[in-house]
Amino acid sequence: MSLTKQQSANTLTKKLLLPLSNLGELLRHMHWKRFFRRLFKNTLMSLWMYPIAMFFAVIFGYPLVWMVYSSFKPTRELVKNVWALPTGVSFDNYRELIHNDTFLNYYQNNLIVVLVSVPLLTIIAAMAAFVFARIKFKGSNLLFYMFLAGTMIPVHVTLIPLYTMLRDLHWLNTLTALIVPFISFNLPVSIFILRDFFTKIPSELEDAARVDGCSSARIFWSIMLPLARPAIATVVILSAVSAWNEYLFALTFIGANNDAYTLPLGTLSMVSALGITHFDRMFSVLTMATLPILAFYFLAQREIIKGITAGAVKG
Amino acid sequence: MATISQVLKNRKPTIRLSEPQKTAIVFLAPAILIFSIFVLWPIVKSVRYSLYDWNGVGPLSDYIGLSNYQELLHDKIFWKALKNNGIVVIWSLGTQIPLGIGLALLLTRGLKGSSFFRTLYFAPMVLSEVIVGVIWRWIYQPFFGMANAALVELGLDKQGWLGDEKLVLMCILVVATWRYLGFYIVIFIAAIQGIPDEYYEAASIDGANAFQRHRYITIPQLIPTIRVSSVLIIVGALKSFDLVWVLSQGGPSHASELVATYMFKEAFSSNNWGYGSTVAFALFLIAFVIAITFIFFTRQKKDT
Repeated sequence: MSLTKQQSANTLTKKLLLPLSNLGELLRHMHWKRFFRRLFKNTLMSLWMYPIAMFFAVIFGYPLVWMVYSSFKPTRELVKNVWALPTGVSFDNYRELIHNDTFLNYYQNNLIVVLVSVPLLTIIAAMAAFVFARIKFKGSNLLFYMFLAGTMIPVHVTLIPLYTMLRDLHWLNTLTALIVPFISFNLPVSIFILRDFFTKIPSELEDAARVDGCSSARIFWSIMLPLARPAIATVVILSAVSAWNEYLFALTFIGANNDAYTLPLGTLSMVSALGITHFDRMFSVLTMATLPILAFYFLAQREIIKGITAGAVKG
Repeated sequence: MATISQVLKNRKPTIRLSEPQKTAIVFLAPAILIFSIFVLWPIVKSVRYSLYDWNGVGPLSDYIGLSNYQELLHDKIFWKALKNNGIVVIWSLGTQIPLGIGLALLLTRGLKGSSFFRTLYFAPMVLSEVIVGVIWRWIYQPFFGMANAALVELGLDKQGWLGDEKLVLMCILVVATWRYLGFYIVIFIAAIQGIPDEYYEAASIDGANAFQRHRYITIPQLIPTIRVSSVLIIVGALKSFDLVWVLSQGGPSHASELVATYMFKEAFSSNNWGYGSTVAFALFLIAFVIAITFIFFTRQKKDT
């Protein structure tokens, strides 16, 4: 350590002090072009890069930060100055929310929707993806393209018939009305991601298992599923985030039953009720509704970014 | 008759399925069943509904043939909504792709803390569009919102933002870019990192400057990703609903109406379920044509 320090000190003297003693000589022999290119590359480049990166960081981050600190500002402070930081910090609003049964119910409903639909979706999609990737049969491609086209169908096309169907099944205003359509509409992208992974698994493993007398179902459970863990994680994350945030089905199919509201729907109804007079409370509702997903995101950001962009990158 | 029984007898062995084929049927059954019942069948039903005048409650009896479609062709609001969808596509193509590429380039140049910036830029993507919509509704709030506070600070006149017919769509598009840009940045980062370094080294040896290197290496290498992003933007524009619904509900006076919000209003606010289905089926046809074109092109590319 000390040696290198000394060395660098030496080179420093060589580079700075010795040339200084003969400045004119130095200036004549300097590679001006290279000097400016390096100066430009190392200093100027990062000088203009940071302001741009920071500028966008503020644009993306500030509204979220603003939401959080506004939840500590009493309405009169907020009306006086939207930007200002709160003068005091009081967690009363949050304490109230944690004991608010309606709000807790929204949370619970959201959790139920995620915990039921994500595993079901994943296993159904994995089974289908395995067949598409590994078993040849007539019409397999056609069926796969049918699912592929399904990724492009706007949900709205089916909203009216789905409503009448769910009404006939007496599922309206229950969480089933969210879970079943959610699974159906997220099958295509999940199958797509998983099939892509299954096709990349070398066939030697499968062949060896077949020689040992394994059935296809056994190969799926004991070989393919454990190997596909990364792809399964991707599908789970992607569908968990979209199930947590789902709004359209909730608005259409459970809008009439406050007891079945999920967080997006519930937040919106609470916000409309509070916004006119109690801004601080409204912003604490927003913060509480975003907190779990943001915490989850900052803990596992690499996996979540990979999960959300997976469908696109593979396309 | 004899020939038929002969044929049946001859076919019998082929009907017997191999073990993997049986598994294939069992494994595909749940997915196909659910997908058919809750996605495909409703599309068919939607065609049927579109031929009726129906308020959604009584029996489906008032058959009116194609007159809903005739009405659709002359429906100014529908065309306005479709045009707005087109504006969404053009705006998104013009902002998400250039900004996405630009910021992706910025974050792949060894900038210190670039993974922090990436995480931050992507953060709006994990939030529900409802939350995003509500946050921005207060930013655009005319009396004490941040947008007007900023204008006052700059000595300019306050604006009505979401309440202004001329501004409302632009306001929503800004929010959409804010919410989705991180997604495109990440896609382009992945694509840029996939370009082999050798290309740039070779170009440097040949004396190409930074601009030339991007013009002749980066951009051509990004074409497949640009194509995928464009498809996602077009499809996404047809699907977009949540943000508009929370921010403006398509108003004021249909200034920010999209096909999806119009369909939703017709069906669930005005109880015109027949006509709503017509709008929905028109939306499906547009999406279908785009999907087929896309699949056709990607298949062709793989064949060659």
